[in-house]
Amino acid sequence: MRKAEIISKDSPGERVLLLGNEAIARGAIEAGVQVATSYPGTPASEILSTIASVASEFGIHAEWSTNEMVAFETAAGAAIAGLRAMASMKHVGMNWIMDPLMAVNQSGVREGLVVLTADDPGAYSSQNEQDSRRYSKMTELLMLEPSDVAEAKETVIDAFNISDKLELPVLVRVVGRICHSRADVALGPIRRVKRRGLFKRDRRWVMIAGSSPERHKWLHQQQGKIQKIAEESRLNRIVGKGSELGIIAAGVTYTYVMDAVRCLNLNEKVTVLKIGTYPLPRNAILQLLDKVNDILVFEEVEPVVEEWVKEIAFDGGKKCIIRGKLTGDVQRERDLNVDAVTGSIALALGVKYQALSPEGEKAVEESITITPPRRLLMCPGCPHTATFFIINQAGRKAAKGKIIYSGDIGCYALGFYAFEPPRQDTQFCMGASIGIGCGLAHSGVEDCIVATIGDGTFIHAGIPGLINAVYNNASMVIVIFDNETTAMTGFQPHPGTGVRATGKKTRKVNIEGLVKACGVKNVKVIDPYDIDESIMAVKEAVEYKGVSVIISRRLCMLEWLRRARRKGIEIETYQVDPEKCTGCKFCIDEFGCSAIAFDEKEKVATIDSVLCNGCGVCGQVCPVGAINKVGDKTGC
Amino acid sequence: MEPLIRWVTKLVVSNLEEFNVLIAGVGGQGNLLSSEVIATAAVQEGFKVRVADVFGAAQRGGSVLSHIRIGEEVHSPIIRNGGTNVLLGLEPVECLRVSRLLSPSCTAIVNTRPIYPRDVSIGEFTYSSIPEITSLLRRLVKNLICRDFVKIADAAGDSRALNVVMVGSLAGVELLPIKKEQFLEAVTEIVPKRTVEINIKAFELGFEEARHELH
Repeated sequence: MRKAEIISKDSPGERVLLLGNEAIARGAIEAGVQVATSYPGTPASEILSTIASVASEFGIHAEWSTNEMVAFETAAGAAIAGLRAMASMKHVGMNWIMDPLMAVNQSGVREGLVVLTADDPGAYSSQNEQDSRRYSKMTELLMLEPSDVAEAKETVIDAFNISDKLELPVLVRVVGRICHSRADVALGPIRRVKRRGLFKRDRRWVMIAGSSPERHKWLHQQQGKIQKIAEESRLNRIVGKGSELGIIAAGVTYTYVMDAVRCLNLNEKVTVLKIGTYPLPRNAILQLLDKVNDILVFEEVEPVVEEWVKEIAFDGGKKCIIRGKLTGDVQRERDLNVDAVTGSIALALGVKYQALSPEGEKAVEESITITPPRRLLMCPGCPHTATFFIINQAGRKAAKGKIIYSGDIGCYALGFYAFEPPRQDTQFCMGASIGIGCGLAHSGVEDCIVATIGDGTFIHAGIPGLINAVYNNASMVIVIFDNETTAMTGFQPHPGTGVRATGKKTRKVNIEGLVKACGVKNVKVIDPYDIDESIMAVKEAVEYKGVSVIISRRLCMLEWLRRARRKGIEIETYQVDPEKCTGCKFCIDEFGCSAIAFDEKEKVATIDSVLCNGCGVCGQVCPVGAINKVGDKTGC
Repeated sequence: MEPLIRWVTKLVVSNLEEFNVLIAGVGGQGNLLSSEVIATAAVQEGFKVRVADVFGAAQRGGSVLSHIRIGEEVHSPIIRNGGTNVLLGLEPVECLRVSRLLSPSCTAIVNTRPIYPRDVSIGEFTYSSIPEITSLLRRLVKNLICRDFVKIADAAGDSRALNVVMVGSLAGVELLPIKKEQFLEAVTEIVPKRTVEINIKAFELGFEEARHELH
């Protein structure tokens, strides 16, 4: 595979185009990582899959762990045994690792342990936007934040070297913009390591009650070394000599600031301080405050640097005005971009900035009014569309339509957008469908609670919730949307698929067996493409008093298409007979497959043959039998 | 902290300060492949390159946008409002969606065959006519090249080669100092092996179409 060739190439100095996540993976490989762990999560997912694609060549153990907490613990275990290890995850994954991290920061490790968090400012594919930089003070660990793709590669290598010296985990923080942008990067030499782990007994590995204060003292003694590293790091640097405005820019915002300064022609007027370490470099900041006392701070997402600079200014006795998110000079939420940054700088300096002429603005306004939205939808033939139809129909039959869809994270989450009214009523975090469902059940709501959770999500976070529902008697239906993959994040395998990150086969977790072992008496496996049988099974589950589990199992349509294409299988599409169609729109309103359109002129439904993937569910759904396979005139 | 030895042999072409290409399309049209081809050709030619592929959480059928920035004075991977020098519009309304990013001196190469969004296909939104869309675009850009590029891809052998046809047309307007051979090499390297022949043909047809427009 071409990409794998580039990632594993041994040609220092060669310039190649790399995705941010690929650069991070390459950095870990150049640093001689031996154990790499992760759980799929946008924008971090490609890091582990890239390492896994070349793992065997370098003798690296690369795995998708059950969840981020286990991923971190696995990496920490390797670092304790003296191997360089990295755990990468999205920001909400960092929330999962706090329990073990808050003990490993005090025990320390023997060899380099890097924890990489990929934040999602703007929450483009997450339940929240949050600023993981806040964790650096909480954990009292060094956190590094690169500003671009090439720097990301170097930062991972630096992180390992520093972690070795300090015997502490080092945190690296990137944002989606860096993960998913590409740039030219110079490859470096690869440190090939074939070290075998060695467990050296040490009391510090045992964080038993009472041992923390001693270890905590040790962690505090490392803070001086950490500060020195921050002071000397090339991730922080001062650019320019202007004295009208001092701009402090952390991480990726540095690149927006540099573009803005050029666009507004401010090279002589401003000094820019690039920030890439937490703790902040006190010396560089005091140096800046000596020259300029009007400061504007850019960062994503919280005012971390803005607050910290005030501490440093106060301690250093510097009189200055620090502006940023807290003062309303920079937007408080969402990701920044070059226009927002340029606008804020222009305003701060009283300079005019207008990207378009008035005529241009007018044309843009008119364009917006005639541009239709492109909604997030489930793919044509997605088994989840069928499963939602089944639940909805069963709910009408057995619960007078009073259903609460307690939702979760995955492709089925799109049930919020794909149907009117939405078929997701709550969504918080991995596994919350069942947890929140327990709360709703014990509160005595009259609706039937249906927790919707994917196979990957269930294994990641749903099991404790399921046990809780049975153990504490919460009456609900749990529907496991089992499409046999972790689809939303890029079709990664998980313990229920029997395939590992490197493609090697392994033992499969048997979901129905696991559910039964948790004490659930009413468990049924259904095929969502078999509508009548499935509605009956879910109806029974809705009527059952207690915990019912329905496993709705059918391979993800896109996965199926990939395999079908490889085998040369032809798709048999479906079509609507305009003579039989009554224009009732049941297929569109109640079923909602994204391949079914409505012809306003003829007042009949139509199926786009390019979009249709031939699942045939529409044929079963149509109340008048107007939908059949193309070329099949008789039945469904 | 130990200094890292940077063995960077940079072939810097210093007379290009900033050139911005925007590719606007719909998921499934091969937007990202076009972006990779152009960016790879630029890197091989020795330029500094920054690319931002923006696709949100839309798996299929959602808007996809690629910002490709080339040149010495380029820092962030995102093009500013009014900063796009060349627009490759794989789908008509997607060009309108990015109207704010277009420069008044922009050259827009637009495919005129629509992909109707769900809201349109179930009758909740009207898709404007192509003349209405292009007349709006003419107020925003300097040069407009409109074609049914899907038909041209069909002529090459596969309608899915639309994305490579349009990369060919980008090369054909000759606004970027990247040699045609560099583009061809990138196409050959990046597309799936069994599709190389069709894609090279697609590139050439797109190239000729754009050259034809200029002369």
